[in-house]
Amino acid sequence: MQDTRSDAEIVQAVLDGDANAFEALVLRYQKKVYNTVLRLAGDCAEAEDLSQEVFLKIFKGLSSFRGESSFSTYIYRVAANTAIDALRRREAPTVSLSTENEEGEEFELALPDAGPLPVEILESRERRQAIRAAIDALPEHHRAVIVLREMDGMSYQDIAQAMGLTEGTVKSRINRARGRLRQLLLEGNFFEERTTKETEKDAQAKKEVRQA
Amino acid sequence: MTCEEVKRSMELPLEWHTSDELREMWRHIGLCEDCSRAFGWQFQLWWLMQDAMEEPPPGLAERIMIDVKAAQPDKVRSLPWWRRRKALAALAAALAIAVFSPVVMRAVQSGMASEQNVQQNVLQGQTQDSGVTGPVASSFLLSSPAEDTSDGGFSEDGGKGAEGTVLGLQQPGSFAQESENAAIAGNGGSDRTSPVAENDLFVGTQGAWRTYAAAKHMLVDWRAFLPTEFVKDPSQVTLVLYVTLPPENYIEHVENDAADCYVLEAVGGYALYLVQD
Repeated sequence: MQDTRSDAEIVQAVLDGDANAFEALVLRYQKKVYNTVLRLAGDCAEAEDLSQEVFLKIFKGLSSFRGESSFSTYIYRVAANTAIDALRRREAPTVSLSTENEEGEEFELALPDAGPLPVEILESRERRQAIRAAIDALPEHHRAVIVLREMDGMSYQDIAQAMGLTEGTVKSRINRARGRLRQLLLEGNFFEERTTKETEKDAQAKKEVRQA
Repeated sequence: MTCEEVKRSMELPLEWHTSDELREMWRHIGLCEDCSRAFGWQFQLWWLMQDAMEEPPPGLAERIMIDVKAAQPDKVRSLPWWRRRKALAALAAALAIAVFSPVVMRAVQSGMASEQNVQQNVLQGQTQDSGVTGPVASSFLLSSPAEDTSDGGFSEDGGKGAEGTVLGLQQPGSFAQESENAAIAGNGGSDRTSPVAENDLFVGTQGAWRTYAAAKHMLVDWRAFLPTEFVKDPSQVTLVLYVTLPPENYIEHVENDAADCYVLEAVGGYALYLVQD
């Protein structure tokens, strides 16, 4: 049965000595923690180990949790840092899609269209695999921010704090990551681009709806 | 929903919105070309990433809990030491308790009540007069210590007695005796059928030493975490208290020339060791 207590109440119960209460937090957050470390570390077996490591760190550090941020933010921060540390330890080669000009400055990729993609074209299983593959293909610094934002639901401010970045940098990276994901999905033929005719047809349909 | 409202909503993580709000936003984005261009992919990507999340492997939570339970004793770890020589450590500790409680104690003292007495109490479920009253958080004990009517030990008035009052504090030996009683008591007037409940930890005896855990707050043997670089012999330890507030909240109150004070981070709080020279 789902534990209806708030995170803060469960944390207090654990601090009062009820270690079993921690299980409610594990059940509540294991999916997101697992997916966070999986997307950042990119390996299922390692993600499992890292998930265990994350929760163990949280348990051990619970008494130092001051409640300055929400508990979920705290968990995702630990998850992200644990996965990033693991990546650095492993020094795995990552696919760099960084786009730089001659001065070495990053610049935003020109995207053909920022509108939605027709995801209904793909079956859900293929679609999920495509998204995972695209996320995995992002460079680490983009992958981390987009996962924290879109999977973990962290605010720009919390991501900035967690990653030691400014809020502006976080927003910029997230925008770039979104753009790159879109581009990757299009380039990988995961989604078919709409034809001009289809787009015009859609626009006409929308216009009719508005008029109605 | 207006374009401006959609824009504001898209600034926040989409997960923070209700499903109705999300439906409204998506509906607007689907109909508004400007918003579709500005937020269509952002919205869709969020949904795709949520959808792409994988289920954790079966048994992950159980394995995590095994790790957590195995790690429990390690939760007591050394903090940077406060090694202070200050006046009247026992009094100060009691002040700290009175002022900053809730406190859980598992006091230890050599030369205390005989093991036979203790065991008799446990077996018979007798409540001895406990000096632990008001300031001790009842949630940490198995029944409310307020049921104890003894005037020994700590003052019922909590913080009132802190200003230079002796608080009924007795010599360390008798304090420990009371704490010990409190730790094993808590059954007076309660509906417990046994004085030793599931979470009570009767650690046992070692020579003249007896240790007791008050309820579930502390589940490790403090002796395993003795600051051996400073404490060579457990008999140097006058008493061990468990407090829930960080040491900086009371350390200045520990003034003692006769004893040193050490603080360890413990389960759910801090262990305060008072060590005689």
